[in-house]
Amino acid sequence: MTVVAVDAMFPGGIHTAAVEGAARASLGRDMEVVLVGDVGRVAERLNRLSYEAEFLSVMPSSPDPLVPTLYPEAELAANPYSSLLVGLNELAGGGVDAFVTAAPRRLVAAACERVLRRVPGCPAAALTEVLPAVTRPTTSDPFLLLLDAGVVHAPTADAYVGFALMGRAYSRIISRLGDPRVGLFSPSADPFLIEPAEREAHEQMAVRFGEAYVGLVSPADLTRAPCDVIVTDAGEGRLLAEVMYSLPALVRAAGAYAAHDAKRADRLARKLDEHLADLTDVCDFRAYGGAPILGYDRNLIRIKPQSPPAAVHNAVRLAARCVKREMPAVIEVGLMAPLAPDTAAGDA
Amino acid sequence: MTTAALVWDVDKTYLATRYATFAELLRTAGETAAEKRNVPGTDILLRALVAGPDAERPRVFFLSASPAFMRDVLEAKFRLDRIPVESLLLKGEITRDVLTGGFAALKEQVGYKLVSLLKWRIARPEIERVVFFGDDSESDALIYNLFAELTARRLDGPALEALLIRAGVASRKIRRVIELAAGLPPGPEVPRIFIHLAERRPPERFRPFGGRTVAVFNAVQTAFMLVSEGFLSPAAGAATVREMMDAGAFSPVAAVNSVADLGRRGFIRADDERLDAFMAAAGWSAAHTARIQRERPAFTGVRAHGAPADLVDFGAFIDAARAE
Repeated sequence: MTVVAVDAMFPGGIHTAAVEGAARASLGRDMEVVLVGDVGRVAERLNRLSYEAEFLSVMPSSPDPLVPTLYPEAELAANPYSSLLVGLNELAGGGVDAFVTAAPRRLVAAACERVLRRVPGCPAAALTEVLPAVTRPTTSDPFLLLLDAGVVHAPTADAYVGFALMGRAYSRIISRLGDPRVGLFSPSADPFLIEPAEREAHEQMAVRFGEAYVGLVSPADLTRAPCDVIVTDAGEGRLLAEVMYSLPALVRAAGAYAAHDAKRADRLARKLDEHLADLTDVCDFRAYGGAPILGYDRNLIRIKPQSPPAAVHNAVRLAARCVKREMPAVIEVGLMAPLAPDTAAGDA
Repeated sequence: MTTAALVWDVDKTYLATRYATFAELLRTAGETAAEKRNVPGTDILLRALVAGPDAERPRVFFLSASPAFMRDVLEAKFRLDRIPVESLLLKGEITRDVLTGGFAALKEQVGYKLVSLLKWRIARPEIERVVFFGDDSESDALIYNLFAELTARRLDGPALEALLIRAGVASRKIRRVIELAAGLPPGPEVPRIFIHLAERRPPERFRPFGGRTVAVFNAVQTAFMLVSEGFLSPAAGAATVREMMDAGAFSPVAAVNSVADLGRRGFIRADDERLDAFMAAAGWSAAHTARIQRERPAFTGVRAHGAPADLVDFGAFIDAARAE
């Protein structure tokens, strides 16, 4: 039976949504859920919830949550029994099959590098995000995969290519896409106006993926490019994701501004709200849960601290799906992917 | 004959009955004894509880709101399970309220079951100790706790009447309860009331009843708690759990998680020696027992002992049931 650990702590203390999401997951009776955190506080919260005792256990950790910091290594060193490190160590040791955490990104990135091993051939691990995508003829999947969304701030060309390979491997398995198409997000569509590492990655990907590489994707093209995977660095990835989450609020604000007076603004807001609920469903992380960190030899899902229980539940189910489909092995094979057939023939 | 009694509800407590819809009710009514399924492990547990010599064997009673026409099939099921049942009390009728559950079902059940239990007690004054087994789908926790408080003489007169009115019990049933309560013989002790969380209601729901009432997820938890009440030795309790695992009712991980859950909820003290004896006798692997040991320092044991010092908070429970 698949065992998924869920980090029950976050910077505010006990992560009540994580406990509730894990409790919901246990009711499915198809996996064991292990909550990592302060036993007393986890138990107190669990007591008020419906859960399945046979399929739920608690792994004790320090009652003190980690706090966001510019110096993650120091914070981790000072808190060796934090729920993040306890959960990751259990994951590394094989005691659990996957780990879901809402710990701050920098801390997760540093802790993963400290505890987990990268799969062979992985130049850098990447945090993924899903974004609403333009309708594509090849798939009914409404999302595209974005990576990196928060781990690597200045990727090398090899790292960009690695992100693309991992993203394609993930999309093949989870989104069931035959030949996922990749784009490189860039401030400009002109290769001569971008950073050297990006330009080198652009050239490598064109050779490596052939027609499956759609080229540079500028912000203006983001909603038009027929991509399944978008590759970028941590800073731009975060920016894209955050803008997407705040899109409904931005539309509301713009509507209020455009209406000029309060009465018209009210009327417009009511009209917009009728439609923005659908937009929120697509853009909001609260609807779909977490996203995996790819590149390590274990399954790891990061959720946002504000995720509600339903999103945590979804993240736990995604973690179980990654386990079932042996995601680290898939990523390892994906990183060894040969050149695109046409390109390989041309080289020969 | 010993003076201990085990009083069980049938549906969702001993048998895994489903009657959320009329179709399920019809299917349940049409099942043969062989087709009836136990709540996992309950047959094994009950056999273990009555396995001792006659003089020490607790007497087994079933009290159910199932209709009287179920008697033959239920008695046949008990024979199949090799459970010596002293009596089976059934209700003469069943109404749609029972199907819908909630407060309507609570009103329906409280009067009938409480009157039945009081009559049962008056007819058996020799019984000194009773353990109750019910579930969370109706109002068993309320009924059993009312019985415990009435027989302990901690609830009577206007307070009792007000409580029964609040619970929605019909006035003629209230009069009957008051009459019967006045004629109760002393005792018995009610050390524990087990409520099977068949509907997976949050355990917190039963906190108003105090430490005597134990919300249990399964028969493993009940077996462990009965060890602490002396109805089973640690070895017999562990053997019972082993038999449940051998029968495929629980995996070792499920059994271990179930015991750890009791600890987290305050029913086991960290230094409880019976836990060590139980784990040793259960034959769990070191990896399995480590799962309990890692949480054990946090086991407070605040609810490890049964009867509540103060009158239970019936009002809080009734209000929560009414709100559902």
